[in-house]
Order: sequence, then C-alpha cells, then structure tokens
Amino acid sequence: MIRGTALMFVNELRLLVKDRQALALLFVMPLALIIFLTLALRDVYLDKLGRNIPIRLVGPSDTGECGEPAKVCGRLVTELKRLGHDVKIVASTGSNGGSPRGGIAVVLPADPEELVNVLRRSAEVSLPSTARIRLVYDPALDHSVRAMVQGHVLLAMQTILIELARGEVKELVDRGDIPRLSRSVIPQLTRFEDLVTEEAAGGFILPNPVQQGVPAWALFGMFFIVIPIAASQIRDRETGIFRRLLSFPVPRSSLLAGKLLAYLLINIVQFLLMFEAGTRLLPLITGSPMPIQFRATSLAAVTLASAAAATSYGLMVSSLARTAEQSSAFGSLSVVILAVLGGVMVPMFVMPPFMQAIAQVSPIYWGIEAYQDVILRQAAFPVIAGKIAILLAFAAIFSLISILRFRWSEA
Amino acid sequence: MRYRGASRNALEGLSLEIRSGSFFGLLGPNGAGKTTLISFLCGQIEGSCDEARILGCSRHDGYYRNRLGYAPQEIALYPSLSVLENLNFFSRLLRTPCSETERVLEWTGLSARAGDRVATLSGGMKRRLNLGVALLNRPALLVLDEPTVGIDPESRQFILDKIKSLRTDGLTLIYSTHYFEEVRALCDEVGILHEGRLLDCGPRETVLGKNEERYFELTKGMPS
Repeated sequence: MIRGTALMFVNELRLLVKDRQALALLFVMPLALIIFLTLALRDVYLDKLGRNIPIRLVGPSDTGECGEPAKVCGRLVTELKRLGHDVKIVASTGSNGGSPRGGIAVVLPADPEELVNVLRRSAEVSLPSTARIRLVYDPALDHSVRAMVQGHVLLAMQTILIELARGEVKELVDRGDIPRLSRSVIPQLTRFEDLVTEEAAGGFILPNPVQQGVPAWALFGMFFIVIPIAASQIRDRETGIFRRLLSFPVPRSSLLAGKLLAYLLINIVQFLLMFEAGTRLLPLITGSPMPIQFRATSLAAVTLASAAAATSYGLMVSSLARTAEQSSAFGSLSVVILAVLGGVMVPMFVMPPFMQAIAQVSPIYWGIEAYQDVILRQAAFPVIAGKIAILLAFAAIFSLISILRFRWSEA
Repeated sequence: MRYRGASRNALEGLSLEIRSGSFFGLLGPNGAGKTTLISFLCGQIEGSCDEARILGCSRHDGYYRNRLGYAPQEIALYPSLSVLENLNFFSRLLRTPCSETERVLEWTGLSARAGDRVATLSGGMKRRLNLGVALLNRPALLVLDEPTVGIDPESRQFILDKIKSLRTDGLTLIYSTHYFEEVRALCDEVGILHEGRLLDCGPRETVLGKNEERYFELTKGMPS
C-alpha cells in the first residue's frame, strides 16, 4: 500500500511540475500579491499602527530653522521623533503648514518659548489664539490618526514642561529657596485634550503588513490548490486513467492518498515560500524591517491544518464538479469568496461586526486567525489548538462530502 | 447492475462463460453495456450479483489483478509525460521489471518516440501505447475496450495485426467493439450484447452468421 501511495505521490508531483499554469497559479500569483499589495498597503497599515506619520512642523523662524535643541521647538522635534514620527521642519513665512496630502502639519506659535512660559506661570491660563499650537491636516486623514498626533504633541509638550520643572526644582533645592519651591507646579496639559482613552481604545494589536499580508495571501494561494486538484481528478476520470488504475493490484485508498499527499506537500512549500518572501524579501524591497516572532512548532501545526483544509476542499470541489470547466469556475469563484469573507482582501479589523461574524464560515478566516495567533499575538498553544481543531473540522467535513460524492469514472 | 440515478439496469440477467485461451469478441452497439460489463470484470464497479470467477479467482483477488491487462476505451495516459515516463509509472505500480518497458516500447513501435510527450503523438500512436500499457505485466487475461475507436484505417489495421500476434502467447482476450468486421477478423468466440442483455453467445461463425442482419439492424443510424 505504501509503495502504491509513494508512486502516486511522485507521479502527481511530476505532473504538477510540468504544469506551468498550475505552478504560476500556486506560486507566482500569491507571491506577486504579497509583494505588490504589501507595498501598496504599507502606509495604510503603518498609519493604523501610528508609526511613521509624516509631520510637517512649521517652525517659528522665517528660514525654517528650529533653533537650538535646547529650545522648545528643538525639544518638540526630538520628542515627536522619539514617538516614532517622521518630522520635517518647514519655514513659517506665508505658510500655515499647507494641507499635506495624507499627512499632518503642526504649526507652532510665533514664540514657542513664550507659550511655555505662559503654561508654566499658571495651570488655569486661557491661551490667546495666537499662542496655540495648531494642527493642519488632510481632511481624508483618519480621525484616530489626527487624535493620536494631537495626543503625541501634547505628550511632547508635557515632557518638555516636566523637564523644565525638574530643572527649576533642582535649582531651588540647591539654593534652599523653600517658599518658591512649594509654589512650583507642573501644568497638566492633558486636561485640554483627553487622548489617553483614545490611545488605549485600540486595545488589540494591529498587524504590520507582513503579519497581515503574508498569511492571508499565502492562504489564498494555498486554497487555489483546488484548481490543480480538480483538474487532476477530472482528467484522470475523463481519460480513464482512474479506471485503468483501479484494475491494478493497488488499493483505492493508496491511489487517492498518494495524489492528495502531493498537494499537501505543495501547500506546505507554498506557505514556506510566501513566508520567506514576506520576512526576507519584502524588508529588502521596502527598506523597513517588519520583524516577526513565532514558535516554529505552532507555525508548522497551523500550516499542516490549513493545508489539510485546502487540499480536502479541492477534493470536494473535484468530486462535486462534473467537468473541468465547472470545477475551474466554481473553484476560483468560491476561493475568492472565501478569501473575501476570511479577511484576505480586507483585513478583519477593518470589517464591521456583522461581517466579522459571517467571516467565521470561511476556513481561510480560521487560518488567518491561527497564523496571527502564532506570528502576531504569540498566543499559547491551547489558544492556537482551538483554531487548528476548527481547520481540521473543516477538512473532515470536506473529506466526508468528497467520500460521499467521489466518482472514479464518468459513468 | 444499475448506475446511481439511472432509470434502468445497465446489465441484466447476464450469464457468460469464456474459455481460457480464446479470443472472445464482445460485440454490441453503443450503449449496449459493453464497457459496464468490462468495468465489472476488472473490479472497477460493483454489481448486485458478484459471482464472476476469473482465472479461478474473485474479481478483487490480488492474483487475478496481477494477471489482468486492461486498456480502457479512452486514451488513459498522462499527456504531459513522455512515452517512457508513462510506461515507467504504470510498470512500477504493476511491479514489473524494467525489461518489460523496453519490450512494450518495441511492441508498440514507439522506441524512437520514447522521450516524446504523449500529447505530441498521433492518435494511432496513442492507441498503440494505450494498448501497450495493458501488456506491461504479461497478462493472462487481456481486456480491450474498443481499442480502435477514432483512428485511421491504417492504424486500425496495425493494431489489429498486433493483437493477432498475441495469440501465440496463449493469453485470453476479451475484445469489446461495435465493429462487426473486427470481431470476424480477430475472435473465435463472440457474445452479442444489447441493452444490457446477452442476445447470443458462442463460436464466431455460428453467432455472426445467425445474427449479422439483426446486428446491422440494431446499429442502423448509429455513429460508427
């Protein structure tokens, strides 16, 4: 039996290797999708993460200089950069920062030093409009991003005020000026804008492009195994190869197992290739590292379960379809629908709640969730095991339907 | 024997005995049940009655399967693989020595095309190879299902001559066809099948002489 299975396995691989269209479908398509869509959506994800938001800081001088690092403007730049923003300083003359497309401008008052002094003098001060920091943003910019930048500016200002107050306290302590020390206060800027809750509102961790894109598009490609599986099954059925093989002294289970194991292996190779491309090739292309941490055993378990679900889905489609045309049309369409529902094209965190509920009918959803548990949330194995079990349940249902409807010949 | 979803039986009340070493012609118009009977004999489908004894064995016996050669009506080959790759694959599944592959290549006259993909062969060559695969294990029983369908007269004659040459090997042949003249040229026993029932069975001259007019009446208007 093992010999028969092994021979069928090797033969199926040989046939697949010679099928350029199938190879392109299984490897080139998902690879291209990973590379191009990750590049295309890179900024969307990074904006959602709150990293690398380009800020145009409109400085106090006419030349675009921000003054010494010790000055307020210089300190603000340092703090915003520390918070992960890409800060570009522009001249104030004739400019309110413009309306940066997809970005945001922080317009400082004419005299930032005076603004700080006013803030330090009293916590109850009502700032004149000329002394305010203004945010000028692209109207299309996500509200959460605007709020986050506003919060970061306030946080930066608060840090500056705390540092100044600490210096003042030290000086008063050194001088022994206790009466003035007792009156020293640090203005609470957070009372102007309550952004702490907004920052925490995300709560969950948003994936970076590789974490979202690689498993999603790899799963998309893996489920496209339906096309070569169905083509192979229907070819063997239509050309009488199955009938010929059934007359051989080889068990039926060996014949089928050998073929399916070949596709299972192809699925695993697909994922490994996509994963390598995502973790090694994409950072080289984009120039920005997208680190991924994972447990290899968990990743292997999820990949095997996903491959089992994809392969059995392919077998089910080939069992239900009567012709190669039917299997090709239904196979492609159903995989695209499962992918859309599962969060391949539109990330799950962007979907409304009812769509997130519907998504659970798609095995691709559970595959993405399981992969994100492994490479994003670093979840414990029992958490991942639940999703693996669901993937295997999908595989069992697909296999059962296949067994009930499988045909060795057209008759 | 009835297929799933079919309204009538594909085979019914069929009782047949084929003498060992004979060339038996299974003659019948399209849809008569020839392929169904062959599929049953080769263990590909199950019937309500499973009393077939072939070479002294049940249809599912490993000994029988090892001594059975079967060429389906379709070109049951992998078109993207070469002639040799096809033969090697089937030969390994049958556990036959490599020398059998060489023998079959020579027998089919395809030695010079061994490295060519099957898709590039002519229809007649594909038929020869389809037949050759059935001979890889030197079968005691060779079952051929319409082996000359869809090929030119020259290729058909070549294949018929090749099949005739197998008579010296002492094998039993079950030859399914709807061509009256092929049965006359090749077989020594004949059974005529129509709508799943055996109309007549016996020595060639007796059966063909008795049923010639009737058979042509049955096949009138059917595509050849």
